[in-house]
Amino acid sequence: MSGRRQDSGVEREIRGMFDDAGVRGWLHVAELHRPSARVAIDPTERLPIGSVYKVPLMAAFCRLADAGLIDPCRRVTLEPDERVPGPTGVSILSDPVTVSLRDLVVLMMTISDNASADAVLRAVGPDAVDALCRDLDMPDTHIHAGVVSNFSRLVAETGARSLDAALARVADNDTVVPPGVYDPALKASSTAADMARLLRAIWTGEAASDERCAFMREVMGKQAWAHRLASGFPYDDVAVYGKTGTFGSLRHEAGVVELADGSAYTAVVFTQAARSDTKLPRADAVIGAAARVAVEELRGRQDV
Amino acid sequence: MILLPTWLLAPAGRAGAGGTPTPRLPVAVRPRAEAPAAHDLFVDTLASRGRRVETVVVSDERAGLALVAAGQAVLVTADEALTAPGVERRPTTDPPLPLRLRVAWDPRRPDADRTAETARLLEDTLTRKVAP
Repeated sequence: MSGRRQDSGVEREIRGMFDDAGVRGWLHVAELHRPSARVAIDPTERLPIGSVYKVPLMAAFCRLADAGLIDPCRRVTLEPDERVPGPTGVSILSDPVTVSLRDLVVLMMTISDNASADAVLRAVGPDAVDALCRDLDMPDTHIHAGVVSNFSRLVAETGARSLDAALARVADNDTVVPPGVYDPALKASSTAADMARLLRAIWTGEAASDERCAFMREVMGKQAWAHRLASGFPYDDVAVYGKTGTFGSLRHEAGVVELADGSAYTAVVFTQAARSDTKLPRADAVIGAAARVAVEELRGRQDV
Repeated sequence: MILLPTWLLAPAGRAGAGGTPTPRLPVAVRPRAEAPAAHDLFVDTLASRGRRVETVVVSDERAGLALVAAGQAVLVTADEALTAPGVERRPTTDPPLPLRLRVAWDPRRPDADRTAETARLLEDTLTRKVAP
């Protein structure tokens, strides 16, 4: 944890923005090609990352495809009664769906489809994801069984009878969330610094082959939502790539921001709201606003 | 979570049914910066009922009460004794606007065991106050 006394002016400003939005925030924003130029707030603290785990899962998938150990075009059928619940995509459909593995990756990244992500993780295996995290020097990243472990731990920790009941329990402002719900152990978890390292590896071609790194960047540029990171950069000539993660009061996004002049920044912002509501537009928006302030600071330093 | 009941204080004859603030008067509130999340939750709870919520910032409940007595605002309070001539009091039920309290302390501080004991005492006392 970084000491508050050592905060620079921009870090104090960003902490003030988090306070005003009613959240605690963790942040790591860095120049893509010069990562020592960074703005960071508690970047090595580990917390549950929700669907952000789909980024290392995608990277592990690409490595296996590069090695010929997985066929990206292999078609799999997702049966309704075997699918993991979720708010989007194949998770909300009624009938069997047959899709190629690489298209499942597209669905899990662009609309955060849980059913697709679970099918990809079953094909890739958690060991391959762990191996990728070790190789890319992400010691604090553990995805376990992804969304399945996130949900099963949540149900166990809340003592609820169903996932819906567990989710309702943690969305209630009138009850205290049971201990353990936001404990990173046994859930997909990481740090802002680890995610920044992974993004850099995807953008510099270290994570997989050039062709597959390009695929990953393309997919991350097609994410459907713009309410978090992208909301800080509402311009046609700024490209924002990202993956959101949401778990109870946690709202995150990990991505890359490319300005028109070619300068690029990894931007990872994790938040935890004081309120339990599932809809908190201020908490979503501060992710983009905080990243924006950090990018402006780094861009300003480049001009000196 | 300890939920303390609250009341709507309104100028006599101006409180709506169920304690709903009358639409024409602003709600006296403490500055948002004191507790942004609690402030927003309060305002959002009123706003989600489809009514426009106007607020007027006051430094404390006494100042809020003065505005109510002057017919210029309504006030939601957990203080069961706060009153003044010409001020009407109704329970807030629709929507409920409880004052949410949690006792928090830093377990890493020295003597945290005794602090925890004090915290438990506080919680017990407050809980008994809500449901004797």
